Amino acid sequence: MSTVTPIITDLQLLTSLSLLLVSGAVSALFDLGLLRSLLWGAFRAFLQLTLIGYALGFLFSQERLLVVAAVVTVMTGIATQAATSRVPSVQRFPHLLAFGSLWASTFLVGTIVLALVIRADPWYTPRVAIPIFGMILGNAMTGISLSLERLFSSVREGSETVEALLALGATPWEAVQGRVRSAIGAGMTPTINNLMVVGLVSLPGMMTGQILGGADPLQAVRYQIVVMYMISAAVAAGCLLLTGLGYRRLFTADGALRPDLRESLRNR
Amino acid sequence: MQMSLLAFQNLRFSLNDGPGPALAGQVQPRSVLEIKGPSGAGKSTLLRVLARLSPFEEGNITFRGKPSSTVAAPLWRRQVQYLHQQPVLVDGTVEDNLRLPWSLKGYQEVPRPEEDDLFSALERLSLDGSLLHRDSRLLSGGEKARVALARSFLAGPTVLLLDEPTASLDEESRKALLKALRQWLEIGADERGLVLVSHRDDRAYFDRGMTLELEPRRGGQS
Repeated sequence: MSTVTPIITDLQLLTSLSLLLVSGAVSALFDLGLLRSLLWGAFRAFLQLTLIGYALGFLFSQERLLVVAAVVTVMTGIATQAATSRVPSVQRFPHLLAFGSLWASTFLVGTIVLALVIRADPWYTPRVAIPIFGMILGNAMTGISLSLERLFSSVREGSETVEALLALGATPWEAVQGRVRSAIGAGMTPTINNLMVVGLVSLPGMMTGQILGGADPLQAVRYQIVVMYMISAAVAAGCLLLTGLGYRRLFTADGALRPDLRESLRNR
Repeated sequence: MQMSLLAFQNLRFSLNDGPGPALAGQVQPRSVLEIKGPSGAGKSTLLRVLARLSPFEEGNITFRGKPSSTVAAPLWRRQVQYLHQQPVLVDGTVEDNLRLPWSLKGYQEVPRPEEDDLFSALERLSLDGSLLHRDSRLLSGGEKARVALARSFLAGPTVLLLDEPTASLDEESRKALLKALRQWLEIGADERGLVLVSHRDDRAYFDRGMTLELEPRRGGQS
């Protein structure tokens, strides 16, 4: 196979701008008020991606484990922010805990994949490691914020039952273990569903990218299989760590339900 | 003088509208401590504080002479048991609810009740034994309140903290509940105590007891 990805020239990139006219027209036609956001978003996407392109070019020339670890740590910080701030029912959740869970699960699963499955030389080759870690992070982040959201909303809604269990002499863990379980499940479900439909409903972006880049489809598929398994492991580990370590934060030091979580009780 | 089952001195905790007054009181064996006062005075919060479901700022609480800080919270709450004003039942049958405490680690040492024990627990509260296998969501309000209390009787606390247990009950259910409470409190080998928040004259049902009157809050509703 002699497939070479066609180069996208400046002119061709400009041509793609015309696609924005479609989204712009839809917004204008239905008076959605999205024009400003669309333009700002289009500009930001261009700028952010261009910058990351240069940054990646630089990083890929640095074959140092420390550099890879630093990049992943910064990415984890950003992902933590996104995972905890977009969850409306979670206030004052310790960022350090979310950060720790994301970081640990990302490194654990990423290292297994890179060192044992892919085995680049060296295993932390930035061109391989950074995209892999990035994919893990993006998915683990979604899973973690789903399970955080589920845990907090379920305890809030069931605060009377949680308290009734505490009043009977339950430990904090006993009072919420069913809810912790369902929260872990809620975080893992989308990933597992995705395993079912991948290749049927959607072609994953990474695989598409590899094929565009000239890779043998069968090799691209193999990469994708590894990535899917890796993501399901990372999401499971992340959700387990976060809710397992985090459930205690629902309670005071004396093992009572935190007052802001039983707001619904007081307002009656 | 006998050692009181539950006692609190100089107890201060926050209320919705600011810091509350310093409170003192005690529960003697086989007797009731009635908490009275206008709404907003902190009656319910006092019960929650005594069960360590809400925090207090100052003072101390002791159970059989032991300060609360020396007893693990789950063990404390098993002995000094708070019952929500709105009865809380879990999904499942009445039997599932009565057996709920035995799903907890803290009850490993407590013998599991036999089916006969469950029937007699229901009977004590004038509930029909046929309720045992009924879905708890199908019970009336008065039945739910009595099932929740039957569960607490079975769990075997030393002190029960009840927040207006008869408020939403019709006269018949109310009498049944008070009669059962009195029996639980005054008859039997174990020394037990009761803390009761009540607007009605429920206190009159019990032989021994005292009343703690909470002051109205400044600017609060009466």
